[in-house]
Amino acid sequence: MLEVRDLSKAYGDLYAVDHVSLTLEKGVYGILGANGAGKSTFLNLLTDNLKRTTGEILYDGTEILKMGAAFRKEIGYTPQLQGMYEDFTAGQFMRYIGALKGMRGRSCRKQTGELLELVGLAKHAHRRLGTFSGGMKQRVLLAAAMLDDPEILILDEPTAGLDPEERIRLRNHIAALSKDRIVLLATHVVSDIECIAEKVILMKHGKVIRFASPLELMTELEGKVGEFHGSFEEVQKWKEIYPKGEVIRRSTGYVLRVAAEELPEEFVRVNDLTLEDVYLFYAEGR
Amino acid sequence: MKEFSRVFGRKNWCILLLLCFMNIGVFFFCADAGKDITLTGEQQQAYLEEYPQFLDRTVEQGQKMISLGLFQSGFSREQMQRITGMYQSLQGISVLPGDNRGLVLWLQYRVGDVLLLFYMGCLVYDLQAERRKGLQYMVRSTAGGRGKLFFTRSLVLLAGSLQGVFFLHGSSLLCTKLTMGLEGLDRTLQSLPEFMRCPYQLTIGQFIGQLLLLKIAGAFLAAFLFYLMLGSFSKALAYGLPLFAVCLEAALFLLIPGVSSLRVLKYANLWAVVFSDCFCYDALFFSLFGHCVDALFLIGVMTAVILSAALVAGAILHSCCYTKEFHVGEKLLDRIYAVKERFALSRTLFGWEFYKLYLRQGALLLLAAAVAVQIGLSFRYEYYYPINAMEKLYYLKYQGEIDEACIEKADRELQILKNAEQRYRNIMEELSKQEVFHAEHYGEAEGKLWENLETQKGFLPVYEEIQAGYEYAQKTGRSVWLVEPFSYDLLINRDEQTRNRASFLEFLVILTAVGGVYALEKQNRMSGTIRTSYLGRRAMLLYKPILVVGFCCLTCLLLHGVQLFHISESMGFPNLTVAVQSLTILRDFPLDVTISGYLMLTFLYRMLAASVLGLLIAMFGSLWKDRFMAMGAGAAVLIVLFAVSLLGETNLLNPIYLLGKWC
Repeated sequence: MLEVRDLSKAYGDLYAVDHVSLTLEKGVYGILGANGAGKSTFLNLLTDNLKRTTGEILYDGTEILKMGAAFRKEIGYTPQLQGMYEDFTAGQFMRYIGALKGMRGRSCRKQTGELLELVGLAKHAHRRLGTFSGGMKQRVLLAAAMLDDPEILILDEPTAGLDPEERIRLRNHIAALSKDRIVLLATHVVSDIECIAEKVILMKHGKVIRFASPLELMTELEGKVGEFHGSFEEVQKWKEIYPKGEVIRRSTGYVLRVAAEELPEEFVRVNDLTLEDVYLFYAEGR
Repeated sequence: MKEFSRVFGRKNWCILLLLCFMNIGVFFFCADAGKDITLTGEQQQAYLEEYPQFLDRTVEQGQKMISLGLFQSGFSREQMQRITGMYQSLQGISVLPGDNRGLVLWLQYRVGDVLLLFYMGCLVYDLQAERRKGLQYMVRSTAGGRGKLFFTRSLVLLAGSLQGVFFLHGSSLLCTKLTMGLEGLDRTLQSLPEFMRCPYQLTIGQFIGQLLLLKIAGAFLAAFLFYLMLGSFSKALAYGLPLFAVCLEAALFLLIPGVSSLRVLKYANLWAVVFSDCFCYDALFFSLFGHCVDALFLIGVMTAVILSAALVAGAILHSCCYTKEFHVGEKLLDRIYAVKERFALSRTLFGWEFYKLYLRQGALLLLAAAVAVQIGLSFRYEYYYPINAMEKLYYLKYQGEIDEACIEKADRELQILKNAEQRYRNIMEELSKQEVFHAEHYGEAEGKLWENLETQKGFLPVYEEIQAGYEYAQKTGRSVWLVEPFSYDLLINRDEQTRNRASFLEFLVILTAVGGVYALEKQNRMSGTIRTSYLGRRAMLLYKPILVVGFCCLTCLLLHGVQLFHISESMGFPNLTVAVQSLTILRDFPLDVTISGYLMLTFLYRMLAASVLGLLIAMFGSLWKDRFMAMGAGAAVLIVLFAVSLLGETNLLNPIYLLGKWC
């Protein structure tokens, strides 16, 4: 169990993470928020890459700063920026990460082969990372994070820059790897976590504004999501009032879908709610 | 203009600064500053007096050969006519004396040109950034992304060649002026004996100007062709081809003699453009469709023609042609890498950090290159030490502990020699007073006196050494031995140049090898991953420093060891197991160690100094996010320290001095 108590990171007067408290057990947690919401800062505090201003982080009851290397042994981490040695081959990079995790030669080689096979890169193990596409690099990073079977998997924007097909593939890999461990997946792309996250941590301006399952979040929004059907010009007029609204083109015409506390009469309330609606409801503006 | 600011950014200036630093250092420590590289004094005067007669003789011979009709081909006849005419036009010029050492040293110094070409290679590499980052299609699709960009980049390369020549050759010219002076630039070029056969009427200043202009042209041409190749071929071919071409041209330029029938390959060559002084050592003509053409003129025209053709070809390639990729040999390489991966070694984390620093970042390669330079420059000549053979014999005779028996024996020998000297002098005096001068007997006595004096010349330094040693032994109670001092004197005193060169190379290797050891992690955005991992902090805080220290110690041992080995091979180190105070130069050394112990202590100190320097450079480099900027910043700080120590006349901040200091 990972417990976060009153965690903060301040840069002067600005709080990048503002008194966050959470308890995380085994399962997949999606950290959802716009750019600058504090997702990466939160993950960097969890991995002790950044010095916290206040608060505690406890793993199985023990402060992680006291655990030191013992805690880092339990973590698998993919950073937001794709950091790797471009002149290393995929196999070399995996073995290097394995060495960083304290793995022995034989078990490291075995796991390297298995994980590269799992992410579909076994045939590319001998190729330089510099020749890999963005999606392939992300899969290597995911496989590297999984080395030594960590208890906590921390993935920071793992699908950034990937095309839809690669995004789905990576999501499936994450789902397959997420059994019996804590998985924290930070993203601003709702579809990344919609199907696989058991709970969603919604962040805004450094604060956790909601922490619940996707179903609970969607249920809370009942009656607050509506659609306006009309011509393109009419939809654009309503869009000026509700800039967060999503314009959808259907065979019947243009639709503006809005999530707000109060909806005008012209809007028809809908029941097929999605996590996207939840994200837009809590996003900046109306 | 954006392209200019992109290429000539901080990283570029850091690389240039580092190269300037290398250039100045190599110039100072590797140039044969102390050697007789040109005629001076009476020899120079004799040359200046002889020169007009040389011209007259050459003209006369040429005219004779032409009048006799000895030439079979039109080219040979025309060549002789041209040569004779050129030397005839020189008749009457004045050749003036001056201190030419600085000029000749600068002209013979070639390292600056190699660094210039390397710098141009770095510029070209920068210009290809969009290809490496996969942005070439995006760039080419913009309004200014083809022809306009190509011309802008051509200007960037021209500016780069101007910048490179200005800084690299300017710095070596400045060093020459400060150390040996650049006198009499308004004298005719033929005032330098090396250019006795030069057929052109130029002043030395004009010649230097012409040389620098051709270096700019050569650097620009080389960079431009490399840029075109990089844009046209796949990476392996684009890097391999120019490298192969440059090496081949260098081999042709260096190995083909100037009088060979294949000399066209020597002179129609990129290196000939860069080292264009080769056209001024003698009258040189080529046959062009049977006509006699001046070589310098021809090369100048060829350079201009090739440049123009390359500009046109490049403009067409970049404006009109589709981007092509030539994948040469990729399948074979792929198979080789696949096999390599199957049999890849398992490494511990320490092993991986070793692999990254020593192999991947090229630290061992840099060290090997530096050792090769040190060996090459050290072993060019045998050590010359003015040893008196008699003195050496007496050292052998009296070697051993300096005690009462020894001093008594030495006193007796001195007495014998002095008595003999007096005896011969008396004989000569008597013989000179006699009415009949017996030249034979006088000569014999004189000869014996001379032998005696020569013997004393050899014995007296040894005797003084024994006396001083005995007095020291009496005063301190230490056991002192008579040790032949020549090799130690060379090592510790005289051969400062080799030691300073080793220190400079050591400093350079440490700066370039370990300067980016932490910056590289930031550059590759691996810092977060490493910090988060189980053993990552151990790698950063323990393994890397250990490897840095290990590398610095190895560098110190190898580079300074070359001098030790060379002297040992040439002269040997006798009596290593005796007290170090037995050597006069180390009489005041406070510790009770043997000579070998002293050498080990010195090397221990030097390894410590190198390790401290290496750790400081690595730590300072950790503030940067780019390897080259880390190295450039490190070089800048150390240049400042060096300058402060020079201006303040103190060696405390001079890293070169501290790295090579004796205990």
